[in-house]
Amino acid sequence: MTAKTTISLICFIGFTAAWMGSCLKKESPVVAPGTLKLVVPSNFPPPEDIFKNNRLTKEGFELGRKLFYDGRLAKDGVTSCASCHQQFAAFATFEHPFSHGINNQFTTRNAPGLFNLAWHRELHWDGGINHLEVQPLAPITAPNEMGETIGDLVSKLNSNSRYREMFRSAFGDPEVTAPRLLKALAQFMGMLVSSGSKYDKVKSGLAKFSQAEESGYAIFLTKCGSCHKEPLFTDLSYRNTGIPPDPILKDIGRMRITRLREDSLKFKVPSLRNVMLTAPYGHDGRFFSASAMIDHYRTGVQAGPTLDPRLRYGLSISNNEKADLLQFLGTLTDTAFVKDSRFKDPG
Amino acid sequence: MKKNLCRLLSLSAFLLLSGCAKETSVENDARLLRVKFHVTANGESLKIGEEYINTFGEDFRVSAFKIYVGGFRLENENNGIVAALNDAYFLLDLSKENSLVTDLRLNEKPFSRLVFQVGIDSILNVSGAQAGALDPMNGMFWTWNTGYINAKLEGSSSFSRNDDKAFTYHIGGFRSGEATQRIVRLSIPGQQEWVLEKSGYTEATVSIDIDQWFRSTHDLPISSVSNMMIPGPVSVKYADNCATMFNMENIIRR
Repeated sequence: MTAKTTISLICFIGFTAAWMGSCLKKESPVVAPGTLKLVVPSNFPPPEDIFKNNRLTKEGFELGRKLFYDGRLAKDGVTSCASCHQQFAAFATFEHPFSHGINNQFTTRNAPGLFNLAWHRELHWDGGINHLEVQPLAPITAPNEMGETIGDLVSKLNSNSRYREMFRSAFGDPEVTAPRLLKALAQFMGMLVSSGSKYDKVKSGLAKFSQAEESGYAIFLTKCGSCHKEPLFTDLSYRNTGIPPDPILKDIGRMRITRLREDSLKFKVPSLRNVMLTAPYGHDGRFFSASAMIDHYRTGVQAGPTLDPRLRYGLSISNNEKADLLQFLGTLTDTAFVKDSRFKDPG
Repeated sequence: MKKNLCRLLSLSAFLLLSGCAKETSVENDARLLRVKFHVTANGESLKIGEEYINTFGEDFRVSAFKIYVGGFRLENENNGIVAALNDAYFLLDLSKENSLVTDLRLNEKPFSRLVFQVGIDSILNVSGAQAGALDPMNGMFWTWNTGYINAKLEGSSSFSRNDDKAFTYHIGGFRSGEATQRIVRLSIPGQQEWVLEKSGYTEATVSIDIDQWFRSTHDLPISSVSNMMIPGPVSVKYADNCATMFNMENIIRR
């Protein structure tokens, strides 16, 4: 056999194998991913349709969970989503006004807790993100957060056989692509539902408020509840709560997105669920305790053209009322959520 | 004998491969319209890094030019749509020659205009992660303020207001009042109607004149705007100019 024939034969075998590989792959049995359902708490409104083009599956969720805890998503190979979104802090950053990105850099806003995201049409303090699926692009590519490019991330994961196997289980094809990676992360984040607080138990008749909590709840309803609206404890709007802008950061909030003057210094109303776990508070984390946050509303509100009219005179809350209010806010802690093994680092 | 064997083997390999590829063909009856985009400046092919002069007399060199086109359709004289490919988007990238050739499979009805959109539909800007040409990996997506960059032009000019003499234009925006998607209608040159034949294919050459980026509907000299990377009124002006860059140079049967 001449060299030429040998080469042709090798080519032929190679081609045939490639053809069989590409064509037969479709027929080889792919185990259908297990369907997963977003459980909507009985006292919650219907969620946003965030899984419309992203079928929730056990495999997709598990892939998203692995990605969430994986430092490979960052340029330095160490900083994961979970570095700044810690489960024990209801997926906020514990005791940090700003989180740490790669190379000891700081973020410029306080990392919010992650839960009940399926009820949010817009994300981030300024609402700049309009779909949960595309949210991770922001922290992954921000130079002061994870500092990675999507192209490099996709190729890193594509060279990892464990990931290829997981992408195959979740999407029927081992290729790691940006939209698949984002959809998997959205499945994990969208499934983070927190509705097991004492407040919820009281609401469904399974527990009772103490006297202080009960009185705190009444104060909450008159002073806080119109913006931190039940049952999500946010009305999802953007408001200027009279926090003076930081002279260095000069954060204009919502105006950065809408470019409208009337949105200057407005930030998204954060949920008060798990509030006792998510200190510090405010968009730049300048209030180190819930007590300090309430004091801002009592005496610190700064006037300005876009200040929420409800806060024009601040909030009159007596010391006794404040103590009861704090007791009530404590009932919004969902201990089961922060210990839920489904959301833990899969290791 | 051995030679024949080789041929036979390569032929069977070819058949096997093409047999597999066939599964992806769109419509059995569709005819091929190949649109070749040709980026020009000062009336010649634009080359990355070469110097050109815009109509304000400003020198400029382009380091990157990318633009989304999609929603291709064919229209007749009465603006009636005779064929449409609503969902297909293409990212034209000056640095990737094959990205400038788009193959459209459409039906054979007579048409007199090639119509397409420049930029991405607003609905796709709010529907989460997209794949293919719209994959955020292509770098045409704002990560902190969700939305597609519909057109990107980067380069340098001695007229730039920046210290490093660079200019950067990332044009996009889909919200009401800030929309940057535009419709482009190109008539068949010198002829009323065209029919896509079953045999062979039709090739249309569409030029994209970068000179129009700076000056057509609006005057946008580099010396007045050297950076534009957010949606808003100025991006809207660039989008208006973008829509005038396209021109069908010729259409031929192949």
